[in-house]
Amino acid sequence: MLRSIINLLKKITRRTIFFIVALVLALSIIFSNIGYIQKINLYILSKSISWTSIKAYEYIENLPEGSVVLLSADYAPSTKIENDPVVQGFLTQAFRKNLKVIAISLWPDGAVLLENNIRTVALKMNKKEDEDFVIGGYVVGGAVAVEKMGINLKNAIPLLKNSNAPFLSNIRNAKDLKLAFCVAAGDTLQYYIRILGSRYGVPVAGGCTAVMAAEMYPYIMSNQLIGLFPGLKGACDYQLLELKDQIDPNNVPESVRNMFPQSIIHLLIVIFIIIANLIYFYERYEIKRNLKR
Amino acid sequence: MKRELPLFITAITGIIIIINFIFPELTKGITETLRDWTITIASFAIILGILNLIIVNLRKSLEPITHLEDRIFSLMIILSLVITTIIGLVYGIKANIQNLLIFKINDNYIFPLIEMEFIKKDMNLFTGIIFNSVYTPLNSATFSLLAFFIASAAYRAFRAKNFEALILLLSAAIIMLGRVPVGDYLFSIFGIKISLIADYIISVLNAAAQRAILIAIGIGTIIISLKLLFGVEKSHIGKSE
Amino acid sequence: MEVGYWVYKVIQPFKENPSIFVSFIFLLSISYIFLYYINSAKKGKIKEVFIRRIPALNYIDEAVGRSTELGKPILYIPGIMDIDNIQTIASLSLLSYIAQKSALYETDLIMPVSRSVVMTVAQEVVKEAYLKVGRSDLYRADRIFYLTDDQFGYAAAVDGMISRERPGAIFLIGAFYAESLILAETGFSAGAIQIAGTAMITQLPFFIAACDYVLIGEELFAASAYLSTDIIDKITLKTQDISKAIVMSFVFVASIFNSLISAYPNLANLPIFNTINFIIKMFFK
Repeated sequence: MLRSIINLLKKITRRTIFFIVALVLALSIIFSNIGYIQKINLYILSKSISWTSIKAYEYIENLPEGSVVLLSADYAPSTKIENDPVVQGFLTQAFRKNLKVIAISLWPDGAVLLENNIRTVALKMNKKEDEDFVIGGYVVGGAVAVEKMGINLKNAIPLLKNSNAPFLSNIRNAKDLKLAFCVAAGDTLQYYIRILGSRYGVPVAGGCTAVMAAEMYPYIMSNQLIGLFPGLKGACDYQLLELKDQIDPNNVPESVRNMFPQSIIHLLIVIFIIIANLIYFYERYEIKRNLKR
Repeated sequence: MKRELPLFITAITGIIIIINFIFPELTKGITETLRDWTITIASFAIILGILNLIIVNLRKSLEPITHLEDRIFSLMIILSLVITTIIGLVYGIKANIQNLLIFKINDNYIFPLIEMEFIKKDMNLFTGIIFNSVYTPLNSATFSLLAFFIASAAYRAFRAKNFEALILLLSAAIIMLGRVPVGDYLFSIFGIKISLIADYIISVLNAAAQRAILIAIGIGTIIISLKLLFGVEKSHIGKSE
Repeated sequence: MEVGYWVYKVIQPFKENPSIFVSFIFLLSISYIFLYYINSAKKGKIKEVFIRRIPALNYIDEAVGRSTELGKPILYIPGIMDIDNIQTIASLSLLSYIAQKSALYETDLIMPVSRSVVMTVAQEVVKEAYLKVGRSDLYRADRIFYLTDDQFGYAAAVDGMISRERPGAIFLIGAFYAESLILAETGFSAGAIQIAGTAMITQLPFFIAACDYVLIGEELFAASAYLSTDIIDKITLKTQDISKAIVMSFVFVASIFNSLISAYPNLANLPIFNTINFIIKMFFK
């Protein structure tokens, strides 16, 4: 009986795995719209908000009104699902707290996504460009541009020179910023930590993709990074922290809904690992048994 | 001189930037200029890439010995490049579909498609069509392939062949389940909050290992930089020795 | 300008940010050690350097040889970052060695590149390598070509290339991001020997899962020294090791100190602990 099951499992090829993953994903995306599943998801997620998200959220919450903050949205459409909710969450919180936002992107794709996000949130919260926020657009240069920000912000972000925003008159360089918030899918969060954070003493917080999150923890533990919203879980945390009791359990934010397919796939991969090890250990047992004979 | 001059420029500019890091006021002006030059050169380097792309793909598409599908793909690359460039340079980033219609014959639009309901006349050409309708779905689709590859890699590679591999796969399983709601949901039966265990592994154990690798990579980076500064490493100027 | 003005300009950064002073001293120390060893090697005082075995680098010859036997090309992927990235520079120095081997064995070397400047430098490196072994007739500039700056566009194009060309060996050396697993898994399914090397910590697990050999972190930076016959290249590894030893000793002392202070707070009153505490707070904030 066991041997036949193992023989059946051995026939699992890459194509079978791909098919199973596709099928399970498709079904879980469909089922994620079911009210009951949304409610359970919401309940469990609201009880397990990560401490890095809370740290970042509380820091922004305690910033005085009128503080000038930098938002750097450095990601491509491929990680939109993970990073967009963090950007939207930050903008919502910043506008609610009447913080003044300088929004830029070190990635060309990120500039388009940033513009879409900031215009949507600004419209919803009745905030005006050149009064409450400035869009610096795509800033060329990567780490070199971040270094330039430490010396002269307007030289590093040329579009700021065209802006009449009153809050920019007191901003000479990055040291005048109260926070640099970077939502990154690449190395740019590290640029802000190493250059603006360590060299110029600017507080840095941000969001990143899940795969990068593990790399950021040394910076969080040494307080070089105030807080982090990692991956889709971080995006959910931000939405839950910001929206709190306003969330309708039957119509949860998209990031919360997307956690269900992610949960199922994680479970599926763990099942695959268990199956693979079952086959491996059974084969080893068979070899040992044959050797004994 | 042909060999020494690039090495000399590398050394001098490197030393200026290092001095600027420690003493920013001393070399402020020259460092600003160097940074501006870096950004300008990096931006213009794209022209090199575009020219090479066009030459290689044009050659491929015109060579009769290449497979037909390869020739079509090469033509597609050049066509996409040309269309995106024209839309960006000629029409600009704010142009709508209406702007495409620069010709009218007897007051009739030459593109009958525009009369169809699903094409909005005010849809932005660049962000609406090229970015949101073509680039974003393609980018997201390619990224989503990772889910399948991770599943197949996990199935193939995560076998407990020895003690270290067992620790690896157990940590992977705990963190995978701990970072999603289903982990807490399943383990609540046993009264375990697996998200806390995952948090501990990431914040303490993982952070320690990451720190070690980060420091080692940092030092390696410094040594390679010193090799570049002192001319020991010459690969960046295309010389192997 | 007065002398006092310049003295102020020199001291001011350290007053504003005292931890810069530590970086400055550390950098000076490493530079001195580096130059000392280079000088010693040039004067012939150091003739040999022991380097531990790095399996990935020992396997390069075998990988190239296998490709030659199968009559398949070698695919070299130098990462997706530009020439200003240290990992790309490390990759290009390894490329030189692999290009020499492929020229010797007359194996085709294909190198799709994501950045135009890297393409230009790589063409020079490969040309020099082929010239060095006397096979400049085999060099073809069109085998090193630019694809796209876009991460997934590049990954898709390289995947297509792997599926069509079916290389015997794939080298993934440089800075990679999310496309690393896509490239490595496709290479695995094509049946190629894969040797990867990156200092991107987040991508290492994917390479370890999918590739035959992996250069982890600083092994990538040590690669050119390991493969070089020149003693000066190898001596730089000694500097790396000594720098690591310095950092490790600082970490060890600081962690013992902090652990003792946490366990026995009264120790903070002792003069020596007070001094160490002051130094740590001042320079390592």
